[in-house]
Amino acid sequence: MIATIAFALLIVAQILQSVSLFRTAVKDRISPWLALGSGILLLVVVIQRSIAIKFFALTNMYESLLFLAMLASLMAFAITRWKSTSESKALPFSLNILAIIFLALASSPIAPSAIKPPVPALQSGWLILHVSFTFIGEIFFAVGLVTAILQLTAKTEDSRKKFDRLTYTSVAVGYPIFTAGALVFGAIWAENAWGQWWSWDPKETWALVTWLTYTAYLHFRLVRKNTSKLMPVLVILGFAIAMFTFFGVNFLLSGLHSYA
Amino acid sequence: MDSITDRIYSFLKSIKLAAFLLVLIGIFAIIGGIIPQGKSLEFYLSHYPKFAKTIQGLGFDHIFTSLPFLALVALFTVNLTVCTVHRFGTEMAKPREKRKHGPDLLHIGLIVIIFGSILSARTRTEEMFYLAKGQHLHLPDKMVLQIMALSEEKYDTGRVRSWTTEAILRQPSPEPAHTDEQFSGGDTLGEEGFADQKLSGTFPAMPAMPAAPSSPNAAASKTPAETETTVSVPEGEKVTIKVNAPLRRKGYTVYQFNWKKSQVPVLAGKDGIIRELEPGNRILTPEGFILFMAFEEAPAPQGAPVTPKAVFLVDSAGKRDLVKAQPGDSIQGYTFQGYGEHPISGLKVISDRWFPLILAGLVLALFGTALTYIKKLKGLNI
Repeated sequence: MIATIAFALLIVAQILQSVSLFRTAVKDRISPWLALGSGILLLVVVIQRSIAIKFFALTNMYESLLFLAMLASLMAFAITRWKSTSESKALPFSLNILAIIFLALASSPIAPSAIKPPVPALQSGWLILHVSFTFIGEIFFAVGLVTAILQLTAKTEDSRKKFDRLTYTSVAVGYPIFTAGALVFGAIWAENAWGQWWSWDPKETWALVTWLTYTAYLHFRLVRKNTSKLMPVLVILGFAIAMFTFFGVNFLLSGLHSYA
Repeated sequence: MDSITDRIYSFLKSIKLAAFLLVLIGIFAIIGGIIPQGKSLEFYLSHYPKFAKTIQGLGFDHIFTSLPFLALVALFTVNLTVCTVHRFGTEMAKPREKRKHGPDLLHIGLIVIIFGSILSARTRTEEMFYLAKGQHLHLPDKMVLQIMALSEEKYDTGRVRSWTTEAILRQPSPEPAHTDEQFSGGDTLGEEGFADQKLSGTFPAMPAMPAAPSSPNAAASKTPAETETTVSVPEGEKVTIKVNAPLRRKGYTVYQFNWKKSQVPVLAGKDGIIRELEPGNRILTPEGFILFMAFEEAPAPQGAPVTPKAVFLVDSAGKRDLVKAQPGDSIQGYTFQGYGEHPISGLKVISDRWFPLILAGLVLALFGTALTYIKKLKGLNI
């Protein structure tokens, strides 16, 4: 029920943002607060489920999608408070869409919502660090995705430079968080649980591919001019790979992360 | 004009080379992420009938240990090392307040991880053991892990909550242990039994033949109470092994890796006491002993359900016979009642003395990444 209200708030916010986006005269002051409200409600759901399973509710696809939707909603709010992005309507708009997509997927059959307490392998503090840091990093990558698209479609050199800087900033924030969550904490947990810090399991391999893509972006950016189209393309590709790592690997490839 | 050495040095330290190698490693990783690794030709033929031979021919079935991938990683390591040394020198030439060592730490961390992984791959050992209550395991430091209790906790829904192996870590016994180790209606094989036997399959493998009791009369003098139900507690350190909470000892770690149920034969004595025997356990009888060895997989004609026969070694006044029995049969005054279930703990003993180096590399890389981008973000003034 609470998640449904959060979803409804996001839909209302989306309508207001759409009006504001296409009718520039209309100022939208409400949708950021609706996004914040939605994020807080989703946080309540996460806390409720955590109490129910007596563990942090990040142990299956449904809970992961709720957590991602919560992060996207909170980011949609935070981005409007960030001086470099406060003028861009596309950013909260896109993050709102992302939150709606995550919630829609959470209510679909691919993510059963039944409350299930964690199996022994998942009962580790490293799980919380591993998954939450990975998702927080990915939400910054999502911001980078939007700004990279805006960078590619920018009509003036100034706005291209502005969006390039935003893309770089969001990747530069997300990259260390993602590195910590997906690779470092994941490796430490894997050693603690399985005795092997790296197994070339499909999920691990695809997380590495995501990391390599963003690493390549950061290195290319050191040597290429910021007008190159390769860099925003790499950021878009990086986010697509990150989402494949989350969804695609779960449904298409089996491995040690099959319960994730 | 630059010398060849200068050109090689410039090539090896270049960021362009690093970016190119990252892309190539990424492509290899994508291939390895799509094609399941380390499977048989039959697997690839059934899943990718058109490409199975190509996959094996190009080494895509073991891409992460293939020569091209390893060569790529080696070149990447050289590139990273040269780049790091060069960068470190450049940074050190700057005034202290302008130095940025985040990337150096990150790169050193990655180099340490790569070298740690090579050393780990060459020296790491891993062995899997399946043990029931009362059985024991010889560990690499000569200590013995004696299983005292196995417990499986479940949630109300029936979902598994935890698997716990409780054990005693003790010095090896100088004497054959069957004199003081008893459990579940029979004594164990002692130090010569399951120790260091790598077991696999549904049931534990057949143990080595036991030595005959030194004195049949001594064995016969044991009362049922002496051979009943509980494991006597040997002296030693109590340890608990759970999933995500391994037993860490100097030089090796014991992981709770698997959990099984094994079928065991249930024998009822004339005294009414029920005894369940793990493979290798025996009941002392007035004539000698009954030792359960293993199950015989009976042939199943035309898909009929299989009722496995239990194979016992029966000692009667020193004369030994192999007896294949089914539920209902009588063995030396005991009735084979049927089958019970015992938990079997799957423990993995891993010795990986280079993991601390890898861990140090991971921490360095993490610290270096954070330092690099915190400084860069401060510089962006966003």
